[in-house]
Amino acid sequence: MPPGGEGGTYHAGRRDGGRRAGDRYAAGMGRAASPLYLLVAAGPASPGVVATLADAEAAARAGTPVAVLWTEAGLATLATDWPTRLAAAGASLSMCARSARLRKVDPVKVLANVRWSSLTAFVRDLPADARLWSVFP
Amino acid sequence: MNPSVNPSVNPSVNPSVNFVGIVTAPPLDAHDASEFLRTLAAFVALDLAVRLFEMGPGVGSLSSDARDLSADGEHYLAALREEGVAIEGPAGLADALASARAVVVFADPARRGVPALLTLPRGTTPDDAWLHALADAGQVRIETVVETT
Repeated sequence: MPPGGEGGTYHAGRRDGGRRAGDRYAAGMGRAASPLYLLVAAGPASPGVVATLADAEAAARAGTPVAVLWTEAGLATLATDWPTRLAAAGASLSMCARSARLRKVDPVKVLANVRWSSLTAFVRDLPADARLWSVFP
Repeated sequence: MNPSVNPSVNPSVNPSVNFVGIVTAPPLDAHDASEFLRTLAAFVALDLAVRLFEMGPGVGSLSSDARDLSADGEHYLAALREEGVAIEGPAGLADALASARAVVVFADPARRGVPALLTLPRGTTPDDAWLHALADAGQVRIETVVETT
């Protein structure tokens, strides 16, 4: 059995090894979670992607500034309900225009509040205190 | 070469800004590494310090002369090398992660995905169990909580 168990989350240095939403945990401890930048380069079928998106959604709902960039294989997620869920939670959404062109993403089918951006702009705008999560296939 | 991208070249680099890339995908899957390498190249282009490691089944995926990268992948790998980013073996990975701000992993797409998420608190040196879990984990991240004043 791996640390954290099947399908769970393993946090180094923690004994529980169970799932928690870090931002809600931080708020409960009188602490604030730093801004969260999430680079989504994998589709929802890749391991751990949905769990990561759910954590980002929870963070946004808890009041943490969350920015999401979809790129390459992650653009497949635009066809799911995740953009709507993340936008409803208050996350800022964008997608890599270069990847979208290469993968022939139909702009008409993309949620209106998903901005066209770039990987470089996303990284450039990363605040000094921000967390960066990434998901790859 | 920009000395700020490689702490081994410029020891004065603030280690807290390190971005760590890890390849655990076997050489047969390296052809799909382009987006991973493009991400690291974007960090380097913005003068953010990057270190790049191969570990487990990923050893040789980038560093072998017989690697099978796409043309884009070769382009981004060359850009990283030109900026002084070396492909390192696993020996220094734990220490690099202890000072890293974020981690980007190119993993075997056929991995088990267990655990679904593998999290390392920022500033923590991963133990052997964490490192062993890395290759099979769904996604990996470094977590930070900021104290309020």
